[in-house]
Amino acid sequence: MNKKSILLVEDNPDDIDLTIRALMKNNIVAEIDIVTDGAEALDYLFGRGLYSGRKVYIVPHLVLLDIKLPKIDGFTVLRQIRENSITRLIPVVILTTSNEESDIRNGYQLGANSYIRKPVSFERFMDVVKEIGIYWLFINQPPPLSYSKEL
Amino acid sequence: MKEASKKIPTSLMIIFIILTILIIIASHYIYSEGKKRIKREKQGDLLAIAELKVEQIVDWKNERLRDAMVIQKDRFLTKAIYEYLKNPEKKELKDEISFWMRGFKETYRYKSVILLNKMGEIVLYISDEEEKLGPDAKRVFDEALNTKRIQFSDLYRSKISNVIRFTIAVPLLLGDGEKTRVIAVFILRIYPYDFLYPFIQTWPVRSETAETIIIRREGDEILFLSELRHKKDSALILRQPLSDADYVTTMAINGIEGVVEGLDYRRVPVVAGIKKVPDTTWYLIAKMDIDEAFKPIEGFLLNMTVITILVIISTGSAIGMVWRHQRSRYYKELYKEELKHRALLRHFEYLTRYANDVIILTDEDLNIVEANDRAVEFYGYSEDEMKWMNLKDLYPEEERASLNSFVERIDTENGLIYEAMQVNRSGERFIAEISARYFDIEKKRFYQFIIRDITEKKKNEEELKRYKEHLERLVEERTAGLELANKELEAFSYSVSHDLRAPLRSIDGFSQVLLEDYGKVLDRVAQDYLRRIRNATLRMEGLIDDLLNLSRITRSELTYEEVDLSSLAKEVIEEQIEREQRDNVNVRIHDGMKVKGDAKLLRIMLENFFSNALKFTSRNDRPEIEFGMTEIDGKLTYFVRDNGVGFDMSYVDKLFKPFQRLHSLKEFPGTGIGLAIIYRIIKRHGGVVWAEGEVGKGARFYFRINNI
Repeated sequence: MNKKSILLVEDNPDDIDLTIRALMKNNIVAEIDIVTDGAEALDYLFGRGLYSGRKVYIVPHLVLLDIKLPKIDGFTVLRQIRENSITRLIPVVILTTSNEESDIRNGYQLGANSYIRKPVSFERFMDVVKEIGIYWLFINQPPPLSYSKEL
Repeated sequence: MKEASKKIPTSLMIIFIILTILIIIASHYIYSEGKKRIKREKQGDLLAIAELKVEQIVDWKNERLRDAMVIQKDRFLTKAIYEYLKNPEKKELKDEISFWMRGFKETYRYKSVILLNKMGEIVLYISDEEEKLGPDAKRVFDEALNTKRIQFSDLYRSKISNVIRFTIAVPLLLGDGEKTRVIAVFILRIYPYDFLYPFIQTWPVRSETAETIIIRREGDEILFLSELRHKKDSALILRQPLSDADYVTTMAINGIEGVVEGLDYRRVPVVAGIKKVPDTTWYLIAKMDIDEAFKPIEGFLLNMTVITILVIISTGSAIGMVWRHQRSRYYKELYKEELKHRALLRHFEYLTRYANDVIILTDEDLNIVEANDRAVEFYGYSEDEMKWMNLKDLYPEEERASLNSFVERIDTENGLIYEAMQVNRSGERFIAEISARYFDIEKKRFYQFIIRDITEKKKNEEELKRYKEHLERLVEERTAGLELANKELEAFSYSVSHDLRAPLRSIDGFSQVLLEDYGKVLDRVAQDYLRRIRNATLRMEGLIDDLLNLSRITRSELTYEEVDLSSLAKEVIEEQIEREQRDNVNVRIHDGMKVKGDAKLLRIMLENFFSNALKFTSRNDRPEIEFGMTEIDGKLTYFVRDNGVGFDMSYVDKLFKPFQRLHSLKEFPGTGIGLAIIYRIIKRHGGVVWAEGEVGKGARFYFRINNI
């Protein structure tokens, strides 16, 4: 199946709505899974808790990761993604309001593929989300997925 | 210092003896030469006097001869006498001859003038004397008669009257050659006391013993012819045997002429000048007692002796003075040494006795030998007690064992400073710092301990330590507080950047959603409100970003490096001009502006300066921006100048405060954070910034960085 999937890790419901709206308005067709805190994100990715039945080898094509998250923050999530052999190669784009230098450095150090600050202006936010979607889902050649072996 | 004996040093003694000998030899030489000279002078005097006297005698005799010859040659007298002898009755002739004779006698001062006929009978007699003619006169008469020549008698003593006389017989001659005959004879008698003796006896200078005598030989005897100074009435009486050669008179008779030394008639040693009187049997002796003659020698000897003694004494004194000087110098130095020594001793005593520290001296077994006043005061034992104690007694029981190891270390380490507990008589303990060392006197070992109570010091040290710890704790607390504050600030900034922005996005986002999705049901006013909401949201975002930037500038750590402001400024302004498309701006940036500072912050500073300048010159036809350096109050100062709208100097105080704006948003957009950021950056670099401006004439910003 060729449908692109995105995991959106975002606790702010407004941002979730606006992000989905932006993707849809820009005609980026993708399956969007949403988790609202770090722990849920990890559960999702590693098939634990609520997501225990999920096939973990079906990894999303892109993870849009906020840093400031309830329970487990974005950096921890990123570290675990990179530490796990299944999730290690998933493109992770940090999408956050912070433009703190330390956050940016931290993100890249932990292996973020991109770091993007959410603009306040909605027009610009639309543009940013559109660019991300097009680039990571359609322009960028994704890493080969490991699930084929499992299948 | 060399020991100086109290005796005169041998070297000086030898010098003195040699000098004395030399002086004596020299004086002796001078004396003997002087003596010879004096003798020679005296002898010469005597001889000269003798010669003078002889000459006088000869002169006198010659005068007498001339007198006689005057008579003899007087032909008239001879004729007259002749006539008278033939005619004795002729009275006038007799008177005339008598008259002449008297005149002659008076004129030439003869004693007697007597005319005898050739039979020897007295014809005429002019005389002061009673006596007429004695045998001596007769003999001279006979000689004159026989020889037909003038005859002088010797001095003789008249046998009749016992008067000393000198007689001249003058034969009066008649006829020539063979036929000459004596017709009469004049007898002239002279009294030597009148003539001869006086001038013989006179002496040219005053003298006690000098005299001139005349002698002649008579048989084996010497006859004294003249009156003697030391023997009255001795003329022609005193005789001396020839046999005794010691007499100067004998020497004279024996034919010695010149100067001799011998005895005179008194048997007194004399020096005499001897001269024979020519044509006589006489010898003239001018003599003087050796005592008197050589008296000057005595005086000279005395003088010489005195001088010699004086010279020797002064030499001795000189040497003595040299010696004394040496000695006094020696003693002076000795005295000085002694003083120094005493001063040292006293100083040492003072040091030990009144030293602030306890000083204790022990022997090898730590038995106390000596302890100073402080020790007594300190430990509470008397000095005598201390001297019966051992150093160990001053240590608390439990520490006595450790003392041995200290002593070992003193021996091996050549002195030691250590701290130890001490205990005094009343059992009080205190900590002491002990400086110990050993020294050996005549192979016996001694230890010296300088003990100082450091209880107070310790207390102070501990207090100081407590203070220090307190201070450190305080600093730590403060630092922690500061760190906490910083962390809080960071957390705040973080939440500002994150949490404050997120709602804005929602506001803006859903406003847009409203416009897009429900635009048809909203009228124009509602739509305008939504747009206003969105504008305010965006402005709020700007403010939040500015606030964040400002806080970042305040928090960020400075990294100092050399920053080339000139090239950085060019880079910044070119970027801005390009971005805002302000090609018409005349930019002038001075070269060579270099400072030490944080490049990132300085860049932000310049960005703010230039964006301000660009903004406020945007309405100018010929905008100018200058960034350069100048000197103000002797200090290097940078400035950013523009010819924009400027500002009113009465608001200059507000200029650098955050979010303070002097222009409306309509005129010039902005949050009013730029100059606040500039201010913070410059402050963080330890610099100053101020502004000058005038409405419509541009603004001028000055700043200095810490290193200028």
